[in-house]
Amino acid sequence: MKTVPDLDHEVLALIRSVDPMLHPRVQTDGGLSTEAALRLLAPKLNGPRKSQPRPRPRRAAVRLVVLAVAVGTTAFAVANVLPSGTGSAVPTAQAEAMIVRARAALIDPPGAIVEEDSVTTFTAGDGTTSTSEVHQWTSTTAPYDTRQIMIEEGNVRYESWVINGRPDLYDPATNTVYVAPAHVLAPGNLNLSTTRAEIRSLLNGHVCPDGSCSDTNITVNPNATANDKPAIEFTFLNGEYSYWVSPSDYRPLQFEDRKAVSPNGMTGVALGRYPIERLLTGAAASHDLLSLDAQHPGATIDQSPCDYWAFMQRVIPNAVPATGDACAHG
Amino acid sequence: MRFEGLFREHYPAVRAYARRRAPSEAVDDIVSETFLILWRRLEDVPDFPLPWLLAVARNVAGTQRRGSTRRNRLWAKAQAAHVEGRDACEREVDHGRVAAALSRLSERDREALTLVGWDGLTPAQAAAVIGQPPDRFRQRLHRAGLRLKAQLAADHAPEEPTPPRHDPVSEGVPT
Repeated sequence: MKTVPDLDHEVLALIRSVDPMLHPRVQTDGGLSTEAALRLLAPKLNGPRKSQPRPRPRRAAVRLVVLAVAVGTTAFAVANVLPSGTGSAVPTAQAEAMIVRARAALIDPPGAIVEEDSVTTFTAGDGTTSTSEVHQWTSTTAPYDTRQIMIEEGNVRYESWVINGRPDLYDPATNTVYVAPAHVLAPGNLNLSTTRAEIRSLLNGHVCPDGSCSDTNITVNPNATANDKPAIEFTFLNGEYSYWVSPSDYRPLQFEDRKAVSPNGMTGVALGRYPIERLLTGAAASHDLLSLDAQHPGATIDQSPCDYWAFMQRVIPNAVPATGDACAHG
Repeated sequence: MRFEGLFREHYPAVRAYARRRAPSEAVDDIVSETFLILWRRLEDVPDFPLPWLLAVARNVAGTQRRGSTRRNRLWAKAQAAHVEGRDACEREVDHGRVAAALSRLSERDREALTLVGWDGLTPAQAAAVIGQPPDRFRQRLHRAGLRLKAQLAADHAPEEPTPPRHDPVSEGVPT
């Protein structure tokens, strides 16, 4: 019988050499000791343990791959639909129909561009508020090129682009494009870069090996209002955040993130609305909307990785840890 | 008490798993949630629990990522990109070539390699973490290793000349 060799020692050594745990900064940040972590967890262990149903055998389902995933994710979502706490109770069949219709309506045709403008008011725990606006264009075709304009308190702060998976930044103050280092690729979840795609994904529920994922319930309120207009409210992650969508076409209208974190690390509630949320097709879906050259033809192109991280640190102070001496400008 | 024994034995490995893959501010939440699930499902825990625990941590981290996608997108995609590219500058100095090659692999390949290389799991244990039959995982691991080598070999190809570097105004930019 032919066997597949395991990793050879050379490859293994290479991978180990870039283990983040070997990094001095990570080693310094050792986190809680085992005993301290156990003491911190102890109060949560006082209640009765929930008995959970044993997961069903999943071998057969694995074999059915696509069909099983499609059916399974819908079934999971439906199984977790509960009456909304604030709205009228929703019969399971009605909620199921809404979820299925919403998922179908939110599938984007290829070759289009989703344009959305979200205006978000963030209210921190101490009552202070701030407003930010993100104007975004996203291709519906892989690799889902995206351009975002970040506006804070009415001023354009910066633009970010993800072209072929590479997240570049643009500084309007200096008309400079900071090119992302070659090895910085946008993570896969950036495919969920539009609100409609995100809602669709959340409605898909979760597929968890061995049933070992944390619980996520979806609640539906078909009689909600958003900005004084009729809306369907979907609430996810045990009430952590909600989306309100149009009852006619399921277009996103509003969201509320009850565990939001601001760029400076404050926790609070973010309430966002979508003055623009539309699908551009045909000639309106011009790739110029996503083209760096077309939008900023005279910009200075800066290829320095350290300048890139330095700029990111300026505009998103909490996003980037200290980069150490290696990035000091020589 | 069995739970405490399991916690003491596996906390460092679970924390390291989370620390390697999630932003530092999310690590404690992932670890805490993972062990709460262990507490609730003690009867289901296999005799050798580490792969089971890492599978739970993997799912918890995935759930967190979905939630944080919303937040990341509120402020900047660049922040999410940072999660992948953290410490890019340091790595460029020391291990830039390997880190770059690893980051260019698919997420599937990278996960296979790092479960074995970073978390020290055997291929069979790593297969259990991601819910794949061991024989298929071994093939996946083997191919991922070959692709990593190919990426490293490609790095030796002549590079295109880079455009002259501009020094942007690094001071005086409004924050």
